[in-house]
Amino acid sequence: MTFRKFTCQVCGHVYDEAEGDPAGGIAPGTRWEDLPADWTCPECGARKADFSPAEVTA
Amino acid sequence: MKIVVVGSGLAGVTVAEGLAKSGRHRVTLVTSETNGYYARPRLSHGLALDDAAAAKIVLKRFDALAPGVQVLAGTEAWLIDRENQRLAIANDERLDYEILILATGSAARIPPALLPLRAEFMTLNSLDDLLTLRRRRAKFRARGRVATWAIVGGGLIGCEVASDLHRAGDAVTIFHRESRLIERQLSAAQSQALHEHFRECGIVVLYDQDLNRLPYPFDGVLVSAGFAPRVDLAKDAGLSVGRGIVVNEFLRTEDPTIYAVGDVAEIDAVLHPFVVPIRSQALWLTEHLERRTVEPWQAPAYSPVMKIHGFRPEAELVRPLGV
Repeated sequence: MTFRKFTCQVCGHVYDEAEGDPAGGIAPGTRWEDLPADWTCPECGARKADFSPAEVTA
Repeated sequence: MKIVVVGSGLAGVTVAEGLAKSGRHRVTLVTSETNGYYARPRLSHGLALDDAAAAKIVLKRFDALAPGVQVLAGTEAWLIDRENQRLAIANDERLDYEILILATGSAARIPPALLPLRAEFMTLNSLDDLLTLRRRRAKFRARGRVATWAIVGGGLIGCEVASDLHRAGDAVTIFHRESRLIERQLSAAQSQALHEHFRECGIVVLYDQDLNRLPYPFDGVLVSAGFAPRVDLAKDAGLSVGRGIVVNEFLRTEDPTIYAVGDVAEIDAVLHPFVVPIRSQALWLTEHLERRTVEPWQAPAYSPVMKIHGFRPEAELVRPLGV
C-alpha cells in the first residue's frame, strides 16, 4: 500500500498519510480523501484546499 | 498596472504572486526582510526543532517567488507621497504606483513600562528573532547548562513558546498579567486544564504580574505581550488608523489607490490576525483588482490553532473580535 504526502502551501507542514495526525484525532493510515472536510493544518490552521500533493513514498 | 506591495509575509507574498500571474502588471514587492518567505505560525515552536528542521522554516527564497514579482529585499519603505502616487524607499529611491498594497503585518507589542528596557529582553516575532533565541540556547547547551527563561505574557504565543522551550529541555516560568492563561481565546475551564498541564510538566505560572521591571534572575527574558500592527506608513500619509489601518469591506483605505491586507487591516473595528482569514483576504484582493469579483470580502469561519505539546483543549478556541 502506498502512502502519499501533502504539503501545506501556507506554512510547509507535511501531512503524511502513514502518520496521520494523532494529536488531531486522525489515525495513522488515514487517506487524504478520508480526512474530514473541516480538518485544518495542525501547524497554521490552513484548510485542506491549501494543501497540494508532495512526493510519493513506498 | 504598476502595483507596489509592502511586506513579505503571508498577505504580501500571496497577493504579489497572485497579481503577477496574468503578466499584465508590474508587481514590485518591498520588504525589510532578507531571509525569504516564511509563515510566522511556525516560529512559536521553532525552538525544539533540530537545525536541519529549523532551516526548512524558510519556504521560498525571494528569488524563488513566482515569476514577475520583483523583490526589493532588505529595503525599508519610508513615506507615501499620495499626491504623486509614489513610495519613497531606502537610498532615496522612489517607486511610482497605480495601486499600493500595505501588507506590513505586525510587530511585537511591548508593554509601555518595559520599553526603556528594550535591550535587555527578547521577543519572538520574526525569523531573525527565532535565530537569535536558538543561538542563545545553543551557547547554554554547549556549556552543559539548562537555560532558565522568564516568559512575560501568558497569552497564546507566550504559552506556545513556553511549551516549546520546555520541550527543548529548558526551565520556564511564565509571568502573566491576567488571572488565567490565554484568557482571550480559552474558556475558564480550558485555562484551568492548561494550568494543570503546565504544572505537571514543571512549567511555573505566576498570575497577576503587571511588571514594570524585568523578572530576575533568569538566563533570558522573552516578552510575548501581543502584537502591534505596523501602521506608521499609513498614519504618516494621513490615512485613518485605529489599532490597524482602517479599510472598508473592499480592503480599501480612504485613498482609492491604497489597500491594506493581512493583520494590519482593520475592518469594522476588527483585526483578523490568523492564517485562514489573511490568506482569504489576499486571494480575494487579487480577484478584486483583476476585476473578477465585485463582492466585498467576507471573513470566512475560522478558529485559531494552538500548538502546545501534549495538550489539546476540549472545545474549539474562540477568536478575539474587537480591537
